[in-house]
Amino acid sequence: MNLLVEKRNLIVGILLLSGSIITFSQSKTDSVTHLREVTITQKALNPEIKSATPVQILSEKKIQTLNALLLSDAVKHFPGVTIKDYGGIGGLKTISVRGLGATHTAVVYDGIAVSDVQTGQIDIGRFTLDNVQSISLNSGQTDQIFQPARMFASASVLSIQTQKPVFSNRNITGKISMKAGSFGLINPSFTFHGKINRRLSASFNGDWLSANGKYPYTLHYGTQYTDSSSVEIRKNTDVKNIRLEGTLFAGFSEKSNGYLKAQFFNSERGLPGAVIFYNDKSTSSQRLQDNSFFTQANFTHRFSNRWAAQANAKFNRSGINYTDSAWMNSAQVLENTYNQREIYGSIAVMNSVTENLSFSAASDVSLNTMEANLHNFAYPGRLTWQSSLASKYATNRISLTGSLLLTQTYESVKSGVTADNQKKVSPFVSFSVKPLEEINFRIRSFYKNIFRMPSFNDLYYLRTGERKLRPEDAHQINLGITYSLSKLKWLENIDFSADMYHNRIKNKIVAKPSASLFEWTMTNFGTVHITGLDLHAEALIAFSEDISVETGVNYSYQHAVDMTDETNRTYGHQLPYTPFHSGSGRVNLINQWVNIAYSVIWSGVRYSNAQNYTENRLPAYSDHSISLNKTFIIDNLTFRPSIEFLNIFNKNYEVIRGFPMPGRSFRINITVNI
Amino acid sequence: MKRVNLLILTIFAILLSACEVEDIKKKTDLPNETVKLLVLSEGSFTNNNSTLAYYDLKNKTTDKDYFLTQNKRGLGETANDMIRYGSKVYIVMNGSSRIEIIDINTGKSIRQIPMFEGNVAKGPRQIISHNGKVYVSSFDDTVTRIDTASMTIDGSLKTGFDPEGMCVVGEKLYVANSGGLEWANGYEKTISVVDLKTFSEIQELEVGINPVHLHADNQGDIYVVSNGDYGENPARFQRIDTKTNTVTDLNLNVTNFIVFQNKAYMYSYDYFTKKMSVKVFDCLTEKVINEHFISDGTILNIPYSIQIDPFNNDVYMTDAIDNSVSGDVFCFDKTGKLKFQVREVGINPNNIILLD
Repeated sequence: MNLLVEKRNLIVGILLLSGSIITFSQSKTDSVTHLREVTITQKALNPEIKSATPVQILSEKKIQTLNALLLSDAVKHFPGVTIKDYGGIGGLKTISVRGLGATHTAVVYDGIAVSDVQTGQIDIGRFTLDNVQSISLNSGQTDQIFQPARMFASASVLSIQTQKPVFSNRNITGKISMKAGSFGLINPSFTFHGKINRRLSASFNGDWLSANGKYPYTLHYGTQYTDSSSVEIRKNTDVKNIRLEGTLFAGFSEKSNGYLKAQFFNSERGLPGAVIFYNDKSTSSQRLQDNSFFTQANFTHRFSNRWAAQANAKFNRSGINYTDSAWMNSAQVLENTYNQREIYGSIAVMNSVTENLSFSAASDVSLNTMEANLHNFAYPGRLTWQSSLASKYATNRISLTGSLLLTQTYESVKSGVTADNQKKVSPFVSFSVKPLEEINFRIRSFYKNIFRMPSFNDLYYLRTGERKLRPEDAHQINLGITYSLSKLKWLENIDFSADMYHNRIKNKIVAKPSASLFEWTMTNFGTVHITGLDLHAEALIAFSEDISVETGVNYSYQHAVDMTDETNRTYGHQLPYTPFHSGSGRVNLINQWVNIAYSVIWSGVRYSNAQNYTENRLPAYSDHSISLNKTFIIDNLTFRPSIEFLNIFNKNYEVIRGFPMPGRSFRINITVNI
Repeated sequence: MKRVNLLILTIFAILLSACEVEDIKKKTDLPNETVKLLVLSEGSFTNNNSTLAYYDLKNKTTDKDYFLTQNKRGLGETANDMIRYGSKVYIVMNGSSRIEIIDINTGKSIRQIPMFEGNVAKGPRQIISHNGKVYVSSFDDTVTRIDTASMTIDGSLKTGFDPEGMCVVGEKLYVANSGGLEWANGYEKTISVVDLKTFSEIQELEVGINPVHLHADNQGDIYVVSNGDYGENPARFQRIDTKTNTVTDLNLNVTNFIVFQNKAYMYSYDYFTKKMSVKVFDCLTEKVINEHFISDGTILNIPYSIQIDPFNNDVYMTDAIDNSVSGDVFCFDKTGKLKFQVREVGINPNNIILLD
């Protein structure tokens, strides 16, 4: 039986059992979820093992053991990932995978990519984990071919799958949780799922987060232990977020289903800025307000065993308001507002020619516009047309995938010169082979050539924007193995993967002084070569029916060097903020008394400057957390209290120079499932 | 983005005020020659990595972070300017918003003067000295007067927007009002003339847009570099005759300069063409007397400051390389031949003090 058929049977089975309206193919992670449920009987189907592109998945259960509050905390546990974390709850957090930079990572929310044409990168600190069912990270692209064209359009994909309703005997389910902890953290949230009728159900989810963020840290005025230091309090780090989300799920028939989702998000926070020696006043005047609303929908229809189609659409409006109340111009205040709009639509079809061979095609159109209250602002717009063709051949032992993406962009401005339109073809190929029938060992490889468009800031921002910019190219080659073993005495299951890769960035978009030192302009200047290794292992050990240990460990090596120009003094030097060695680990001890979860993230030395000199070195750090939790049932309500001790060794390490992380802290959480 | 990148002027009291040169000479009986350098570097924005490097010319040894070595703490954020006055060096810390006063012989901090107005950091930029006082221009549209005996602030004056370079002629202080933070409103184009006796502004002179560097010769002429608006209005180099307050365009392309013995040593650098040049200009005849000072073909990547050795007329220049990596110091003899180069003294080196 091949994978596709298995999938279908499985999904039909789940559908019948649960009465849920979820069906296959809404997005990659849907099927991932279902597949994981079946791993009890079918270990071979673990997508992390079978995928031809490296993928890591964190289910809701695993996320609970990571001592994570925000999405970014959990994502730090993926191998090959560098999170630029500016510290605290409100600080910017971006994700770079395998040294390519945050602009090459797509962030996908329920199957539709989140976009930010202004900066080209997504702040993943704004996503909480309350409503998350699973998160996954793919290098290259996902292993699926039946998806929107935009899903093929990045060097890696971070995918967030929110919770879907599952009804058994009750028509209303849900949970309420309350978190509270150090630095003034209060974070209540709720999720309710309601079954409206046989075909319709709805989910509502919301959370409110508030923290004053006033954490102490040790400021070191030198690099030696003998150099002076002082204990300071981080200022202007307060944050207030509110998020409300509603989703309507529809199972129109056995063949058709879809969802309609809307989300509102508002955030008001301080921007503390870098710690400045001897001056703690300049960092207390900047504030940022985020306001966003989006609605997105998916409709999937299966015409027959061979033909399926899906349509996706999204409207997004997001605004940023930045103020500096101590700005030293004549107005004494700086206030910038930026507004972005996106209208997006996608149609995709898939044809399964045989049980093993399928083809897909997708065509996406997005229209992005941006406004800002800036002097001489261009008011840019971009129409992007992306078309993809993909094919996949998959048997139990072999999988071959190839895709081509055609991207065409049409730029427009209301004032000034228009940036260049782009037309690019981006290929991808991958394979996975299981040489021996009886051993679950696979060899996998992929090649992908993709690019990222210059952001609107790159092209149009004040005086730094350069309209002649070309896209930044990324080439990726990956070669890896996966191995899975199960049912060995106590060892319930062990998964292992090792991937070597070589990536190259060409035409890297960087800022350089142009007309004068006062005038920095973005240019296509720079070549980066990245050679790396990602190792991942996880295991489940069951000592008895009640006592088991679940554990996972990652290690990454990245050699990401500037190869731009031999005469440059940074030639051959490691890129700033890219550790050579990094890793993470978690151990979850499950028992009938109190579950204990330990997690650690660890990073080797990095440099804050392109020149790898001692004075630019940021020391290695590790961040250990431990939590206790217990689940019990009273009157059909499931209570899950937990307490987390974070950064227990109290290290104010810096991920970004000048932005110390909070030291030791705690959180208490009570979740009630109804 | 918010940062206005800083192109900093080297101004030395020692050169502006002849009496101070004499003071220093009295201290030693040996024939004078430069034996060590103090090199100030801005660092990179928000990295608290401004440095004061120490270079020993005899032993050719460098302590890249001399201030840290001597004081067990870093200099701080964005060092913009420094000046020698008597036995002390005054360092202007723009980001850290304070003046660091160190002993010239030991490098040890004697005093820090915080530059704040209530909760607002003043953001000091440039410094000069005159008659027992030093004057500091700041982003908050002021010039602060510091008494060098008590090392305390003893006066403050409101100027035009974003004052930068200053110089003294007679008993008048001339302040370049750049309007650098007012770029959206078209900058400033004035020089404030301040009566030092009353420490009050008496006049405003109009010069090119965005004036930043000022130096005077000894016949009362002030030379001004205005950076322009990087658009329609190009950079200008002008002379102010302080007797008549007339402003004359000199049609020279100057990025920064220094006046020594009535000669202006000036360099220009074009970020577009990446071409640099160093010229010598006679302030008495008002003519360029050497179009190509560097005579051996040495090229700097991004010249960032210039300084003259008063003992042997050697010309020191700093090279910012690409404004992000550690830069170099070049020393040319008076014929323009490279004598030596000190590599990688600090990021964006912008000032040199020569010590005998």
